[in-house]
Amino acid sequence: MSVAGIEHFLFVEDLEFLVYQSLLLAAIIFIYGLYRAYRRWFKPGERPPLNNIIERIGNLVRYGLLQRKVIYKPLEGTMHTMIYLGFIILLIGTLLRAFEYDILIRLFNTRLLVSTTYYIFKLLMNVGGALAIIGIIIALGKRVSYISPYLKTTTEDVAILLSLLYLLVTGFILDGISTWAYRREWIGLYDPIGLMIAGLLDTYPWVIALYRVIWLSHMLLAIFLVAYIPYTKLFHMIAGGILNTFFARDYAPSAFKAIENIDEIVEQGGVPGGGSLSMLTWKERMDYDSCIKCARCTENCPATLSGKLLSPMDLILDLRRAMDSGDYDAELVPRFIDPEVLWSCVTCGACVYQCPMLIHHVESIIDIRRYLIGKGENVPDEALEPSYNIMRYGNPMGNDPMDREVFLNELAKDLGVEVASEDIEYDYVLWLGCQVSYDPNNRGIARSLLKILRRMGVNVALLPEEACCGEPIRRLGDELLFKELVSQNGELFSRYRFKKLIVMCPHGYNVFKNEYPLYGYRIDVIHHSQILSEAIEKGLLKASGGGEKVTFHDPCYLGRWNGVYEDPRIVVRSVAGDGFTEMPRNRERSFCCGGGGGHLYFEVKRGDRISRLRMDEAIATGAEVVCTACPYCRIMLSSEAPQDIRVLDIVEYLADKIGD
Amino acid sequence: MKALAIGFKPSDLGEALAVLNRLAEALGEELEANALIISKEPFKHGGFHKIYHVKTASLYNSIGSIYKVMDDLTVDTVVSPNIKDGVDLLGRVATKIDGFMVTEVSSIEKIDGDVYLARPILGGRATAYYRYTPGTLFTYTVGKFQPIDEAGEPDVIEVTTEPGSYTVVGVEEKKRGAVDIESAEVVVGVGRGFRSKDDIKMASELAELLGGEVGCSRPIAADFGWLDEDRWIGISGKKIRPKLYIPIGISGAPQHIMAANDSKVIVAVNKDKNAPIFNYSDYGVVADLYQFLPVFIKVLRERLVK
Amino acid sequence: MDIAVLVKASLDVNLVRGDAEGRLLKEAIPLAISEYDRNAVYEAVRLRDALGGKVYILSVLTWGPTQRRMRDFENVVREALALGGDEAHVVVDEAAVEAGPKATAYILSKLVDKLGGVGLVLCGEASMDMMASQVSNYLASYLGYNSVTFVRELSIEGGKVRCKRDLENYIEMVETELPAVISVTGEINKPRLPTLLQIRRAFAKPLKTYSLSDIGVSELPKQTPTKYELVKVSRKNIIIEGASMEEIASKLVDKLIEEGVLRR
Repeated sequence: MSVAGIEHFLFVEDLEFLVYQSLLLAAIIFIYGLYRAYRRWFKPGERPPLNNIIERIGNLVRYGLLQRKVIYKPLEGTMHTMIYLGFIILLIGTLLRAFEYDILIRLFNTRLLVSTTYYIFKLLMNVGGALAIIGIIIALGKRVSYISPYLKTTTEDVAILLSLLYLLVTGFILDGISTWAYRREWIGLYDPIGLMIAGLLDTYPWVIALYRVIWLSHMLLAIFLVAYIPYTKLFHMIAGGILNTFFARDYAPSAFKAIENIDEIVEQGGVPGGGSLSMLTWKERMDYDSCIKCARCTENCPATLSGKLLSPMDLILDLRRAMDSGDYDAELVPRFIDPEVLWSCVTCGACVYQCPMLIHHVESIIDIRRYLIGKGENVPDEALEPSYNIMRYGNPMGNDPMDREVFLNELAKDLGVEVASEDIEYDYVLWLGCQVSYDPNNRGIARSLLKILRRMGVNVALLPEEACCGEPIRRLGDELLFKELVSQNGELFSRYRFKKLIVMCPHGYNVFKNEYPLYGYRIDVIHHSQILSEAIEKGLLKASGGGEKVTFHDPCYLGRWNGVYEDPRIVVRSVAGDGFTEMPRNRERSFCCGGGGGHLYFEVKRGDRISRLRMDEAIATGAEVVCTACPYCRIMLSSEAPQDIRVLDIVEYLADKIGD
Repeated sequence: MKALAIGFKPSDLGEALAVLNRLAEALGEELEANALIISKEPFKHGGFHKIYHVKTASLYNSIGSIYKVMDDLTVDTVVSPNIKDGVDLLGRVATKIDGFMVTEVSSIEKIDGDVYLARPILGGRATAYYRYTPGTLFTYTVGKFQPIDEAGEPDVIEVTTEPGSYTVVGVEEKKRGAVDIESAEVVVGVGRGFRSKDDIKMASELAELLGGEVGCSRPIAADFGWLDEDRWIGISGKKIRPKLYIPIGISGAPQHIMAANDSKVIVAVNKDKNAPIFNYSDYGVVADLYQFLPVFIKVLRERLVK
Repeated sequence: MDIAVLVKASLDVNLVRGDAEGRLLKEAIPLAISEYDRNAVYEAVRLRDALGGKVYILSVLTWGPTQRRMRDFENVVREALALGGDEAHVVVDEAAVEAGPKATAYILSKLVDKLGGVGLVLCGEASMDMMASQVSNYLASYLGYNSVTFVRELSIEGGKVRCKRDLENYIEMVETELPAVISVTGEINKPRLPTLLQIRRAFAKPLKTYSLSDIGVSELPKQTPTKYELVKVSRKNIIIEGASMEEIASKLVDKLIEEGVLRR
């Protein structure tokens, strides 16, 4: 050969036809696999949506191609990136090779991979192969060393890794033999590994026979491994990496899906929610096939870590198994899922945040809970109480509604706060919420905030009446009552004139901000941490004191679900200064207080209490004050706090230090 | 005034006598008290004109015989302790004679010349007053009237058992740990604030230290089964009247409060400052029981031993 | 076998209202389903599912003014239907207000007659507000049915009902012939709380309202309390506070010694 390039089908010209026949068969298997997946996800008549295409492509690039959520874990991220990058290089290389041989040479009698291009190609293929081999060795090491106790290893996991390793190793052996055969003299260091292998060989007559055998196995394994992608865990790259990122929910992740026609469903005698696979959405079903079993969700799930039955990964896999059974109309609970699994979820969203495939575990959990609540079966007795209490007393605890009135009058009398009148326009209305209105331990939050707001001269009023915002029962799955509360409160808001609603409870904040719009009510809401941090940044509020060690617990519905991490920290730091210290798990990785998902009102008595685990973490920082920005968290953590640690809302802590 | 008192056990008669005396005094009339004893063994008590005895322990085996006694005596009223069989029995008599009855009378008051039977309603949060007229039967709350011991040995007239249209098939002992919280001097109440069956040990330790018994709210016995039902304080469970009642982790459902409200001193321990139990307590400790109990036991032990 | 269940719209004992002078403001107290009646409905539904027939919810509005109470009252009845009752028959008449257990039982007996009699009547052992435990015996007597009270377990076999009566110290097994009126205790079952969905569905079930004249009642054996009084809480209501658990415990022990309730 005059210029450097590839000798195609060296030693195996007679087997060339096998490649095309296998490819044809593989294509049929692969396409059938995709079709089968399509049928698993979409009911007849259902079509995937193609709206917001730019945003969707953005998600695909960010989370699918660039794997933003895969790479942040050092070991696993490195491992995956090496395999991913290695195989991308090898795939492109192989395609180029095929392109040169089957198109350029055959049709145009010209070549691409020659001279410099060829040298670069060869070197990159070496690098790709090496990266992938190291990645796979790390993966195997992780599997055998049990670094993550929740990462379960099946025969499939090992078989796939070994297959890939076989492909890579045989790839290098074939490369080495080729180098030995025709390019040992001129390839130089552009094929370091091939050259090394070639050096080991001599003029053995069996080398060619060996090449033929290895080539055959390599070629067939490679083609059929690709063919079977839709049937193995490798499908994660298509179902999860490409499709699930592309079709990811395009609205707030903490706004669980609405059931607009819920009244009709109930009227026609149906039960709303996801009782069977066919009652779930195609997106939920796609989620189940997207899971790659990396166990990041489970490793971060407060239910799992406190010894409950729920493991988000196993739940998703159980649902996948339900799909495997083919019985889309069978009730999921208890046949495929133990109801306690579903009731153990605190809806903290750690799983959703962690999932590299953008699976929304909590959406499915709540969807299935809705069905259970609708049926009234497989529900813990206490989980029905909040709904019943709301119907009877207007609050989930069943407190006497008069108690709120008494408190409202106290606030008006002691602090001179106005009770809103329909004829006057206000800048802000402060939503008290059930946990602040009724729990005497939480009432200080409203008192402190109102004191500060009035000092700042903020024009704020209180509503004479409030219905429950509906958050706890929505998490528990009582969507019908939720919808009714939305219209009740929506009607209430429409009667008063104000610019923004201040909410002290992140549960209320989230539900007004993200979930009320699902049923047509838009309210401009702001959490009190945001008003306070703004005032501090502008120098309107100055606190003095501090000196003690303070830590901050991120409420899930403020932080992880809504991205408000800095505002409460600005408030705490303005008082505590250097005394501020973070818990090991903070911000996006924060650990739930145990009170979300309706769990303030009922308890799954199994394992440890989540609140205990979180308080232990706070205690370990040496903090004397644990600040939070949520009445739910305040209740849960106070109940675990030792005597010498105070649990306070950020505004109570602040008010303490700016005096009267 | 001629009256018949139903008695199921010896102590009933002294109390019934007190009730009837109070009624006669309020009415300003002479009392002729008679008694009907429904019990395997007869017992005597002074102050009664005649004592009838039906030899059975069962209400249903005695229903026929009480009507016979009623025919024998023409009485203005029949009274019974407010236990379930007493309420049932008087209810049947009332229908038979087409009269009225009042259950759970806790006091007899004379107001503006009229005599009233007062009874708690609305979970003990209010009192209803019924005007007494001859022919009104009533059950009285046990423990509210100071028993009268009177000398005398009235004759006991045996009455034959005549069941109504019912058959008593058998009797089953309640699952019990041989406790009597109804007469305990100190009761420590266990509520839902306790997180596991094991933690009840703390309450037992406290009860033992105070020479009392452990009682509980409904969920502990009925729902969780952590304690036997004979420790359950409630209108459907046991009514207690100790000198000292310490409800711990009990929020105070109306049924519970009503059954414990006769305690002399009530000390509530609850995490929730807003728990209704504090309205019905003399002393309240707002604290997590897991933090307070161990300290309380320790302090108590030091002070009691001193 | 058709079963009638007596359901009372009781004053909500959690929302007792009174004024500063100690008067009970009973008209300001909302109505709620009487707790043990829920057990009765639940038991009736269980029996119906096993034996067939219908579950009738029967109720008399006994708190006035009836006009203003209608919404609350209907909610209570719908709640009973939501628990599984098939149809409801209720009496609303100003004359029935606070008429007492005997009069209520009389009205109910006429209502049962109107239905052509039933095989079994179930009710709670007592209402939450008045706790009189009298209606079942009166009703049985008016209907000429057998009566068994305080039942925590029951089974029906060949025209006979076998009950476990839950008494203070023991459980008595009793057998009687149907038809019968049986009052049940809270231990007989654990009723589910109804959800809004079930209550909505219950709105599709028949609910018939009668006046006293509709069911042929003219005279009522009334027994109305002369007056009601709010109980003045005689407890001291002292919250013991302190800087530490030790201090609180110590202060509490002082108080208990002062009260003379500690055995020393």
